[in-house]
Amino acid sequence: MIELRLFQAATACYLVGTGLGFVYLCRRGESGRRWMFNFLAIGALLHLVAFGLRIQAFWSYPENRFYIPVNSFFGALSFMALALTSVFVLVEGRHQLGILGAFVLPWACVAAVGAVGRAQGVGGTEIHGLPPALQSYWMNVHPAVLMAAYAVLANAFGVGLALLVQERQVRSHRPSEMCYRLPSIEELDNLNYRLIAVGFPVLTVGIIMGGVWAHSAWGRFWGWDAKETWSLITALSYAAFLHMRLVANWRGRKAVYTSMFGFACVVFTFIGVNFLSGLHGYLSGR
Amino acid sequence: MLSYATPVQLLRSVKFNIGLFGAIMLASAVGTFVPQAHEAPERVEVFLRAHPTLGPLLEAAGLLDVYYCRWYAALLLLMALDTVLCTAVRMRARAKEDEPGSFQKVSSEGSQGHPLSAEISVPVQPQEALSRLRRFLSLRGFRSRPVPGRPPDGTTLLVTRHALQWWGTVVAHLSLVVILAGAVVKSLFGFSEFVPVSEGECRAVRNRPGWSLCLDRFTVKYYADTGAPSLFASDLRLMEGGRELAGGRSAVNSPLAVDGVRFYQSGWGAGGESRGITLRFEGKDILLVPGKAQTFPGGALSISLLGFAPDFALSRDDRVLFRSIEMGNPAVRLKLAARGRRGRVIWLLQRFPDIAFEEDSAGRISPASPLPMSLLAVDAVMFSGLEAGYDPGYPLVLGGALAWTVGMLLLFYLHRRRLWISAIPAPGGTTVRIGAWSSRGAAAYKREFDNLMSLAGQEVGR
Repeated sequence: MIELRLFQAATACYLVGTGLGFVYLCRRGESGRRWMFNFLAIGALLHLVAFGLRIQAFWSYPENRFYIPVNSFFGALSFMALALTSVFVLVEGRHQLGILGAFVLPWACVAAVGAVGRAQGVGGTEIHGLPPALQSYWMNVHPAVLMAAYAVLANAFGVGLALLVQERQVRSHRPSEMCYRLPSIEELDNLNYRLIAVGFPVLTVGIIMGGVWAHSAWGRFWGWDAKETWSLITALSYAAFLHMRLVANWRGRKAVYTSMFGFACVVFTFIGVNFLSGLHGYLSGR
Repeated sequence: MLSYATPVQLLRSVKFNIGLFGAIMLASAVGTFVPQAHEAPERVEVFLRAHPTLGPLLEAAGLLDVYYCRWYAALLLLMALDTVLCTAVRMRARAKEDEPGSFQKVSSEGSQGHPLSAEISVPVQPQEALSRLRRFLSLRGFRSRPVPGRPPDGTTLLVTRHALQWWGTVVAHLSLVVILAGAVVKSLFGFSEFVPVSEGECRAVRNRPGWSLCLDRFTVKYYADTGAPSLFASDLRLMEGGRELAGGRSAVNSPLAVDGVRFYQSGWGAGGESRGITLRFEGKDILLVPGKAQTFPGGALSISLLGFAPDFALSRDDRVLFRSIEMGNPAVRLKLAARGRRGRVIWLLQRFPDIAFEEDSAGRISPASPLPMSLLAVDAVMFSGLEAGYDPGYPLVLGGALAWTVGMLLLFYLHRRRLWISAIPAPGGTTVRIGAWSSRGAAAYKREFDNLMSLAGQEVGR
């Protein structure tokens, strides 16, 4: 119960932080940015404590000991929100753009609010013993690496959105305050590429780890399960983006649309496929 | 419309490759929405009956078995060929990168956007200027070498940092071919078969003549709160010609491996046989075995075990239904015979000790009056579903996967920079002209390059 309350408080902080990100985008002054980071830091801290409590409860089952509790939909969404926020803070800390919060943090909020919504349902935050198939050290690596990749790619999606907004602003004859807040199109385009260049290898390595796990658990590296297939489609879509950018020199809107298609595949792989997949259907509650 | 002078040009074109990616993605996606024959043949049958028009069309197009149909394999093969071709062409182009005049070429073509350039004035002779610059760059991780011949752009020194980054492309692309080769090796020389074997029995492994797999004991443990299995494992012996070849436990995530063949714990169940049951009768625990009636003091009552249902349920017409092979609701069928009276057939349920059913001669079930006994445990004869798999392509797949990881690390996490340096005699010293290229593009490298040149101006230009 304490875990849920802490997580709800963290979600509230993320929501306020996101709101402040929008305020910073549209108004002059630096205070919005500072407060956004303060709220995010408090939210992340509460979130970490909540996640720590969940791990403690999860480990009360001897079979679950030393595994991360990302086997349930609530656990996975909560971890996703934390990963998204952490990657955002890293990107923002490195590039000091300030405005990314309005474009990236909504995704962290979607994940956190989704987890809160899931928690309200029957058995939402309940913890159970892991099925034998998930009792493997890969359980700590494979999902975590993939979710880290998803978080980086979500940040790239946010940067792509910012690029589209900036392009619209630049083209319009009366650009708003936002136009001066947003970095140049070239800078955003480059950041979008850099994030995908970081996220794509992590994504593919996560998929490979899944293959190695599948080989030790089921005897095959690849089985064309819906989740596996969609992760391949996601990887191919980002590979197409990278080829278009590096070989055909695509820049700007066209490249962003391609990367956005990749992110749509990420969302479908993370959420939608759980209702198609028999082997990876843990998130759907099966 | 696509028009290319040679098939090689067509295969190398970005449009063709994106089209190929798109076709593979689309076909793969379709396979996740319609049932697939390799995965669930029974669902394909149902689908064909439910869609009499669409179903046969999809079947004819191979979409009900996409991942194993010829045109899909052809697409993957084409991708592999394309990858080899593009990598070969790239390697050839790489060799030309270092040819005399390459900076001029980069400058004019701008292969990565706008190349960067700078000029530094040094109050020494050209040879000394180059030597100083070389030392300066060497301290910053650059490796330099003189350019042979007399390049038309005057470049005399080519300096590179993180040159390995280029190999990332080659390694990553070729690793995909290795992975696909691993899959082909598996399909040609590997096998996979399901071996269901009951406790105390042996079963032949079809793909390994002479081998038989014996199950000594199957262990299953459940979580107390949910009843879901927490562990299931088989204690196995592999026999060949009457001698034991190997033995050990196979559990999920920990298969038994013998001579490259791995036995994976796939499924399990109870077939309806038991070695015995434990009943509590008037406060005492009694062990009852099949085929042997137990008579109680004075001979007033005898109980015999007739059968066992691992997952007892009632049908709509009040008959016993064996719902599954899992121990979901274990129940036993007993015959109770009291002296001088007709025997009764009753069902006792392990999980519901207060409930008992009576079975009539027609097999119909009705609630029985409370009995002075309860079912404590069933020692069921379990069967284990094992997947015997031999995959000689796996080392290739694993090697390819590792190579891919290395390639990705090199390609995206290393930052390759190349500097073309020429030293031109000028009044009072030398003008050093520097052109730059970065694997991350000119925009990303500009700040670092400007800082580098500023430092070089201060240190070399003194």
